[in-house]
Amino acid sequence: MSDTKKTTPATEAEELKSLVLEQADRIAALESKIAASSGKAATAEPEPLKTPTTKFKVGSKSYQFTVPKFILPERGAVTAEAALKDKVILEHLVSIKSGIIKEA
Amino acid sequence: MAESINRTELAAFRAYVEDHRDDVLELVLRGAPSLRHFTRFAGVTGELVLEWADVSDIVKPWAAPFEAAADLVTRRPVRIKSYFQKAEMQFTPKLDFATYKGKQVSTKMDARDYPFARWAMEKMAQKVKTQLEFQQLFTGDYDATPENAGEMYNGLLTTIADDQAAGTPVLTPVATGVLAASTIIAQIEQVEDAINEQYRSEDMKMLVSPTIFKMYRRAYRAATGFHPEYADVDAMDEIMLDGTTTTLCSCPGMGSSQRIICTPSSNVYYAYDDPTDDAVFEMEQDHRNLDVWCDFWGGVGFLIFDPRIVYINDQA
Repeated sequence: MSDTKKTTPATEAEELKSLVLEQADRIAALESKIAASSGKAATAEPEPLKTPTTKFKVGSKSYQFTVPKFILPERGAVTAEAALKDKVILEHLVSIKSGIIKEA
Repeated sequence: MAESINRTELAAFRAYVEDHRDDVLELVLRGAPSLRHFTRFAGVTGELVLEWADVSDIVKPWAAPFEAAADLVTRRPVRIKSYFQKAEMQFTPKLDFATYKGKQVSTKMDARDYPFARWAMEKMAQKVKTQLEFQQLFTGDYDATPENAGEMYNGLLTTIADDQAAGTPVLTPVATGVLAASTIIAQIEQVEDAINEQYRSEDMKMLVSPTIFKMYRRAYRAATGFHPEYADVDAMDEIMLDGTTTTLCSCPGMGSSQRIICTPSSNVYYAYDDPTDDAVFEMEQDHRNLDVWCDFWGGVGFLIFDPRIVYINDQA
């Protein structure tokens, strides 16, 4: 006994649409896989970090960074952008008279 | 053209001193002790272009398809530069004829055989090396129209300062803060700790000024009750840092700088043409005068200027 399904033009169109969308997703996934394996994404030169011009205040004085990135002992590499959001780091840099900040 | 020997101050005592003394007192010149930390490149007259290659990560999970990635090995040029320089003097040896040195020779002797002129030439060679140490290796500051030894090319400190002021610097400084006697041991070790273990394939040299070197040594002695270990008993200006293969080196040419430069010796170069160029002089007799000169090439720099192999602190 055959299992016949009753289809209408409207449901056929819906099925076709979902099939097309599914295929588009698969193609996109494959393309990104090919790009990754070709190494293009891995070897792209990263944009050099720029020194932020944002000023910050510790005590009564204003400062700004002179480099975009630095190494904080026992913590590792820290970007100036990230440090600007961390009051503890900013106060520490001022207290040790670090050369990576200057009075602004 | 003036003679290069100034006898003005000697004049008052000349009759006695020059007639009776047979030696010349002198200020001992330091030479260029830091040069031993540099890798020498001979035969460089102008620019020698090498390359360095950087290999990206290549290990990945196994899969049947062959998917070698592009641009895994990045090759970059390295420019080793040397600059043409000279040193020259003019003597009138017969002015010394009536003196103690003059008495040692006959009147017909060749001017270049006069002992005082020969003594002065030996001093020239030492002075060339001393100027290299104190005016060029570290503190040299390039000027397009140089007028003295310190303006012909950038030394290591100037190269680093220019990088840090660039806005988008290559090197990443370690925030040690101002180096002080009470904290110097920890500060030196902070820079050492920053070294990426992936690239610690050979002995690192930590170049500092004599002031910082002594500060570390004295702080170490005060903290432990004994002296730090010398890298070599014949090199009292080098100290092995505890638990590492890094050597702290005193470099007189760094002057009063608080900068710490940490990199392997193989990564800092001293380029020249021939090693005898600045030590063996050419001479030419011009009537009663003797012209003495040497022409030579010299230049320093980093081979691979990259934060994975050059570590610095945040002080100038």
